[in-house]
Amino acid sequence: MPSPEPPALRVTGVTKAFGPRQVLDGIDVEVPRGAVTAVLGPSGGGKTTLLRIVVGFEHADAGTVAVDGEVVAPNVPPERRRIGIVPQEGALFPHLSVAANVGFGLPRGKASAERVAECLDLVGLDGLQTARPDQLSGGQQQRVALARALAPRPSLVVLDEPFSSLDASLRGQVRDEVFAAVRHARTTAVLVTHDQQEALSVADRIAVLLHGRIAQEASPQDVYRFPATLEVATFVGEAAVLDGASDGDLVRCALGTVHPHRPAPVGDVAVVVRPEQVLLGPAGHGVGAVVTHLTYLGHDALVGLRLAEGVECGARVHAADLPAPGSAVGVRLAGGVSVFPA
Amino acid sequence: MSIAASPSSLEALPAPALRRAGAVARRRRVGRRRPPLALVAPAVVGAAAAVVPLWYLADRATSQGWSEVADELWQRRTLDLVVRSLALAGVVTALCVVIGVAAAWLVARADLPGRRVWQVALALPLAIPSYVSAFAWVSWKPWLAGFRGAVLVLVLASYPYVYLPVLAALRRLDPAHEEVARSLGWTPRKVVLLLTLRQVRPAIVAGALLVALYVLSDFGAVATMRFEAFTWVIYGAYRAGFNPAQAAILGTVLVAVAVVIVALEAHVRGSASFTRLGAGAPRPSRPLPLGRWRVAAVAFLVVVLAAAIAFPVAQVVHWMRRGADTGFDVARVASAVGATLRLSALAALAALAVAVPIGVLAARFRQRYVHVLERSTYVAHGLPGIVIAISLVFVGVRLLRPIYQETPLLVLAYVVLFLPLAVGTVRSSVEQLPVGLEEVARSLGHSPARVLARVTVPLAAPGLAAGAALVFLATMKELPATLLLRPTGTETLATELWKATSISDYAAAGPYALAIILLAAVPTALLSGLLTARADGPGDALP
Repeated sequence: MPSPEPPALRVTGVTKAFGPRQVLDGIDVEVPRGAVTAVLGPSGGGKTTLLRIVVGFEHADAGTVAVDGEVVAPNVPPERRRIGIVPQEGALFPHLSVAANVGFGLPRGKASAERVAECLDLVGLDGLQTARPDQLSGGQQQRVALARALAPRPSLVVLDEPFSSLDASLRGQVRDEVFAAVRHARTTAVLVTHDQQEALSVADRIAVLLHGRIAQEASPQDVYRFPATLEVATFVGEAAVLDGASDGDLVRCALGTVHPHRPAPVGDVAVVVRPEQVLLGPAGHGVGAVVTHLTYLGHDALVGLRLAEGVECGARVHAADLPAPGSAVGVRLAGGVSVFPA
Repeated sequence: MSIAASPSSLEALPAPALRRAGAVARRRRVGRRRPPLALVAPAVVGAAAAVVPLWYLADRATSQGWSEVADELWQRRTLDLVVRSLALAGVVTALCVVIGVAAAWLVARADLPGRRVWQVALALPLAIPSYVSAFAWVSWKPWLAGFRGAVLVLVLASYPYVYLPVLAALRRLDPAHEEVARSLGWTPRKVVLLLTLRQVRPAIVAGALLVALYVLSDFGAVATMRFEAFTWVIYGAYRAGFNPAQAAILGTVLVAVAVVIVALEAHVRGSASFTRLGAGAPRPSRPLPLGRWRVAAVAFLVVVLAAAIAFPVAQVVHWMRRGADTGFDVARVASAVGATLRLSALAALAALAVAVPIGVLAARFRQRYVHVLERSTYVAHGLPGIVIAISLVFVGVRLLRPIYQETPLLVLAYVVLFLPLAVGTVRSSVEQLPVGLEEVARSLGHSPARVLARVTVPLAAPGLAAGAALVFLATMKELPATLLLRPTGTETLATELWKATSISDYAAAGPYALAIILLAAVPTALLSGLLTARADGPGDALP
């Protein structure tokens, strides 16, 4: 059934090669209106190229981009696409004040000044109108860049790794502030990032971009719990991949007999085990294992384990009760697992 | 004197805010998008203006038939001329490398007292036209005339072409390299000779080639020193008037020699990028202690500056005193000052108007024809002013009769001569702007033309101003093209000075010489201070 309202952004069959390198190999994505969609992929994986094609800075070799149901790529120039962009380090115009930056995409006039104040208020920076960009902190610059992108009321805002240049200690806070503003403005947003934590915590939907294709497009929970491919499983979140043998309903692996989330292929399979699914107990309970190393993380810790026949996996445990390296423990698996053909 | 500074090695002078923005996005060209016609059309006109005169020169050279060309070329005199000019260029270049590199290293790296003052002062000889200092020397010691005098004056006038790029390159080096070398057991002397100088070698070579070009194209110094180099002989052949083809043929030979050097220079510049650092400004390095060599170093710099600046200035003041007894024509001096400033301003504005479209195209678009357009403005770069002037005389007589010996043709000559200075600064200052800023402006709903007006040009403004200032300075000092093409009745400071000194009337020359030096000194000091003070960008040369 055709939906009554077209999606805010629809990318269809986009391909792009730089010389012999096929960067995008048939991208199809739909971005629902009013939601935050993350495009998650490894560095150098074509995310930025996709973004530049959507915004109009780069031409695709094939395929189309439609904004609000209207095809804009390949023929509409960037200034007529109504797509706001927040670039990596803000890219505020250094010769203009904060207010002039935010008002850059607005016609001159009184209404514009009000809109500037409104947008600055939205990002929590009202009152900084006359400041120069170089007087702002990195996080403030990002928020001004967002206000500038939102001011002309675009159909869509794209954020290109907007927090990667910030200090790790600031990143989470600025991220929360920026996305609070995005949600408050009820804008459709696309976040391009290589940071899976960022994508998982911020987005309503995640499109995983691997090898020039969208490997999976789903909610963060589904991407993490029910990855579409083995590669998505290992790219998003930590995972051990164990060899297993499946009869369709049950899978045997080094952690014993486990239940797949969905009917599994029959025969040799790969079993994806998240570290928080691996529960430790005293030796003798469950499958025997030896602690090989500990990675202490403060709130919790990752325990490296060697199972029978040299199979390795990790367990996430509460930091209060840590086994010593070299000690023998018992291991059991909680919950279902994702299983893929070997 | 034709200005032979490397055009694209001249860098813009961005404001601090801009430098921050420069780190925002590594420079990225827009790539294969089609450049707007609004940029291409003026760029084509500008490039054509730079190339057409040379075509006329060749046409004129062959006007008497090829046998005439062959006869002229095969004369012993012509061969002698080539050898003499190359010998002069070779000796001057070698001495300039020694002085320029030593001065740059002392200023950049040694614990020299008053480093900032030396830094600016050492670039100041650029403000003194070579013919002024040539007159100063030859009026004091007439036996200097000839090869010796020409070498002396040209070395003092052109060592800054080595000094400035090497200083800039030294400033850009990452001190971590030297620190690593020291930690691996190298002595400071070994570090300087085997590491530091190697790292700035491209800058040294580029500067040396600039000096060679400058020497070949210089007219005032060799004419005053009565040394029969190319430019003076060409001027003589042209002035004799019986055989314009001879001047054109010799001019073409000189062009051929200069083109070889221009090509070498472009090649070196192309491979010079390894001295450049990545993002951000390097830490300033700690100056090396000179110890007991400190006195010798200061003495060396004092001698250079005394010979290059103090002596000619003192000599000019001396002439002024003598002139004051007889009294000089204040109205005439004022009119020459006015004409000089007016012509220089016109030339600066005209050059900038042509340079902006070409520079923006070259910085932002990669099409092959854009490259050809940009390069064609460089054809005249490094070509002697006398040759350009003679070509434009031919063009004026044949094509542009109505403006022959009128201000527009003279301004056109200045634009052809100095356009590369402006194109270079425009190009490099636009290249330093992150493309991201222009892209954001596009995404906010502005057309390419509006983005140019609201983002690119305002941000590149300091660089554009520097380019205009360079053309202004170069025009002020220019002599041969002004001599040949000035409107009837118009006299500039340079031509008045030339007239007074060619009849050895030093007293009359005084006020004009002093006015040129004073007018040129202020912008030279400003520009050199700005260009060399920056540690995070290559500021390579001045006229």
